Amino acid sequence: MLVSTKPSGFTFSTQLVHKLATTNFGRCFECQKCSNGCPVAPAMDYPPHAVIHLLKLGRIDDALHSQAIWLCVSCYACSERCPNDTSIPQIVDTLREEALRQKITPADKKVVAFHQSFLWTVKRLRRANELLAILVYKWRVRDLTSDISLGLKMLKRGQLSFSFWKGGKPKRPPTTSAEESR
Amino acid sequence: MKFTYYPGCSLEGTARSYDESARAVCQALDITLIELDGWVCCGSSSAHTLDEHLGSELPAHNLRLASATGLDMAVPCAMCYHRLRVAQMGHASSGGELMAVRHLLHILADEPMLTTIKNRVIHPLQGLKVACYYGCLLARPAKIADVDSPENPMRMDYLMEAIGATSLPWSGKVECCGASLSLPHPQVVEGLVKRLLSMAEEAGADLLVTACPMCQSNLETRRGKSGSQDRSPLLPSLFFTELVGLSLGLYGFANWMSCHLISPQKTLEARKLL
Repeated sequence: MLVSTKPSGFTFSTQLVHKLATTNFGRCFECQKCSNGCPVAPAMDYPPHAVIHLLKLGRIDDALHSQAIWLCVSCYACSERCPNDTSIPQIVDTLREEALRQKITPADKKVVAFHQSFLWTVKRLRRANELLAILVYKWRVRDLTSDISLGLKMLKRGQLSFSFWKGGKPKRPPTTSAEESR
Repeated sequence: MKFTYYPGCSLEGTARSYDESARAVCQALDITLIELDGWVCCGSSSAHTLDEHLGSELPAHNLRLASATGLDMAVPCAMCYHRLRVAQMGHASSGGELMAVRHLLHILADEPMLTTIKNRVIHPLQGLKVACYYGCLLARPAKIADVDSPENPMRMDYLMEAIGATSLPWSGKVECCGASLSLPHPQVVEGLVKRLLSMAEEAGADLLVTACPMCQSNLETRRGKSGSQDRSPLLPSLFFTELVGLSLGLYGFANWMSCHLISPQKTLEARKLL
């Protein structure tokens, strides 16, 4: 499919146009080094080079509706290996922000729900609390049963704790005199 | 040496043993860590994913707090390190001057600390074969991570050699663990973790060494369902500070080890290191 069926062009924010104009995605010659090194490309609808290709074709709307922009974990394998120095993670961040601004239903609601849950805890506690973020996320996606045994194991090992109820730092086990030599 | 210490949120939770071992090791090496007063979350990957302004403002707030102390910053978490360095470089390009932000691994693995550690080792980890796993953000982007090589970084390997362990060459050094997809898409992360652990096993490693709470957590928690064919090999993964602590003879090791879902006890006992 070479021609977009969706109208594109004038509905984008000035921020998007400005930010995309400062990245050099136009220099991409599709060597696909980015997609070959991308750890999550197999799970994406459009692998990284294809997202860039969408932009070159002016099909920004398709890029905004893609699942790929939400699956990207910003590991920088793509941009580090790009012979044309295209900052793909930066472009992806720009597209995500624009998709949210346009209130486009994200193609991957779970990823967005996770990030929102994480920031929900940061907003309330100034610091992230993993257990609280996990619980908020599990509630949002209505999936309270998976990972229960894993969660209990982590609680037992003190990796997760309920200390946020008290508003304090997570409880530490009594530290053995770590500084003393054997 | 004196640093402002920015632990980061994970070190109060899943990576508790990283925090404790980092503090203990630094104390043993006469590095003074002063925890940054009133630090807030760096935003991790979530902030810049949803809101670019928030993604730069959260680390910038911490940098402003830290600049008042006049000390360089020591950061153990690879994600925090990345976000703080990005914010710092943004500030530097606008003409401001700030203190240095350094990853704890770089502080310990660069001279003069490397020689100091070598001289202070009392239990060399002789015979222990480790695969050093750097992950993404400790290696990339090269300019921001301040790394020797983005494809084959060596600092952690040098540090492991300094404490007597054998660090193996392997292919997974800078591969991604799947990071924050661990909750929304566990099956993607399980695939990546399996690849990493299989590569480390193939290289003959006894365990993996990491410098990132997210990597460590994923390696432990996303090995796939027990009994399934896709289950990853059982390899423990430890933070580099824990192994340095063990070699320096610090008592805390047993305590740190108990935080891990995959206990390294058997592996270390087999090598007569416990």
